[in-house]
Amino acid sequence: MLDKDKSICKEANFHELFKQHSRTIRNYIYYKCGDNDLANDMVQEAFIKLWENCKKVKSDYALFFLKRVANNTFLNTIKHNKVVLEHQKTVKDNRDIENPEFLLEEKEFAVKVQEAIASLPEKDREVFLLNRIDKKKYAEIAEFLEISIKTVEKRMHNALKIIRKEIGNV
Amino acid sequence: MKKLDDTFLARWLEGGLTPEEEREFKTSKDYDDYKRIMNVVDNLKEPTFNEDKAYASVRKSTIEKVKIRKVNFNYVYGIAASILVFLGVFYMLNLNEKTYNSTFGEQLAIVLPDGSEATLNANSSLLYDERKWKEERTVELKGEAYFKVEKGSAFKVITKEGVVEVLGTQFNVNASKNFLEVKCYTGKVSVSNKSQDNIILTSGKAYRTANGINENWGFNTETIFWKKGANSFIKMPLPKVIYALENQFNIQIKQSKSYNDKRFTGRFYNNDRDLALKTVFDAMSIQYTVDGNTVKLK
Repeated sequence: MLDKDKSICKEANFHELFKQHSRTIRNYIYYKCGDNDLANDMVQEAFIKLWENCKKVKSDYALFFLKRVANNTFLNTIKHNKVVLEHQKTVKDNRDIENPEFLLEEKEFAVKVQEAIASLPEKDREVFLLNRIDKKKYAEIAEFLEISIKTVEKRMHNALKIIRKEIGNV
Repeated sequence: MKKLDDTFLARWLEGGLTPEEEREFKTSKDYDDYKRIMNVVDNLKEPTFNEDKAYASVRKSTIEKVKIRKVNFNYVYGIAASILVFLGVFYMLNLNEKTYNSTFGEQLAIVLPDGSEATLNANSSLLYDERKWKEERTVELKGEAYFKVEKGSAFKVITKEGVVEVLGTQFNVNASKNFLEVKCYTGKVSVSNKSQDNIILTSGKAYRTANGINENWGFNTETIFWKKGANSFIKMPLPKVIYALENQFNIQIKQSKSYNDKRFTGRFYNNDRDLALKTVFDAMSIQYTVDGNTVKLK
């Protein structure tokens, strides 16, 4: 029996779902395509569709619904740019000031890693970044993407392997 | 026989290794590399997301019952908005670039905007600009691909070692570090690179440049082996055969010597890793050991 209080057609519930899931969906699409505008548009489209179907979708199912809508709309407008992530500067220690060569090498290495991530196959990259940046556990990712945990682990492993190989090739 | 462990690194990251595995990994050469990579990765963050702004926009289109705004996907007038400023490095993104990547052991078939086809062999990538396709058909290739090119404007394959140009033909391009091999199956192909200006290949002719050494030879056009589940080689420098094995089976092959002078003629099938290793290394009289996903040559 559908609990009327949990209906998505109520703004409070809809807003709550937005707070819960919008960032995840946005990041998911961004990790796929590297286009921030497109990812933001996809998220909004997905929630608009959710609202239009609010009578038919249960709150528990909302995340899958959003993901599927975002994915489908995304597939229709495939744009592949470099997936570009910001690097937070790590805490400086005195070594950096004394050894500029070391600092430069570290910067160059970080750039190589980012390039490697941008060149990953889409499926491996989205799993890898959902785990490392969104801090989602493998079980969560498996559920969200509707794949097995083993597949998630394989893609993680593959991603890291490719990153290392890419860095070795430069 | 030990099963292929293709989740090892994933389990390491989640702290799911046995104490033994953990110990062994920490003493391996790979460990430092992976640790260093993860130090960088764990300091990355996604672009900022203005949740409130996004919600306000959604609200306008839903709850406020304003006519639903059609999202304009035509980015031709837009300028790439995602610009990364990373310690002084700027990236410009090309919105019309399409990139295809095949992973280990994977072959990927692609149809280009004019109907030409490209099939990528394992661990290869292909890039082209969709918008410019009508005037010039140009792709960038890393790795190996078989092309079926429709008649039309000049079709160019750009690799690090040279440019392959055709007008309606079928040909195979294999490009990696200091290496370019082109085989023409039908029609005519022209190859230009750093050492020689222009080599024309007709059906059944092949050309290879490896570490500055150029070769020409004829081959049988009847079969394109890697498309049919096997990779075949004629006098291929062994390091490139090793590279193909690594790409197909997602393994690491550690060499004790350079083996640059050794050549391999023959083929290995893609469905059986151990048989493939045996085929190649027995023929070259090289002993080896297999440990999970790593092969060590003696």
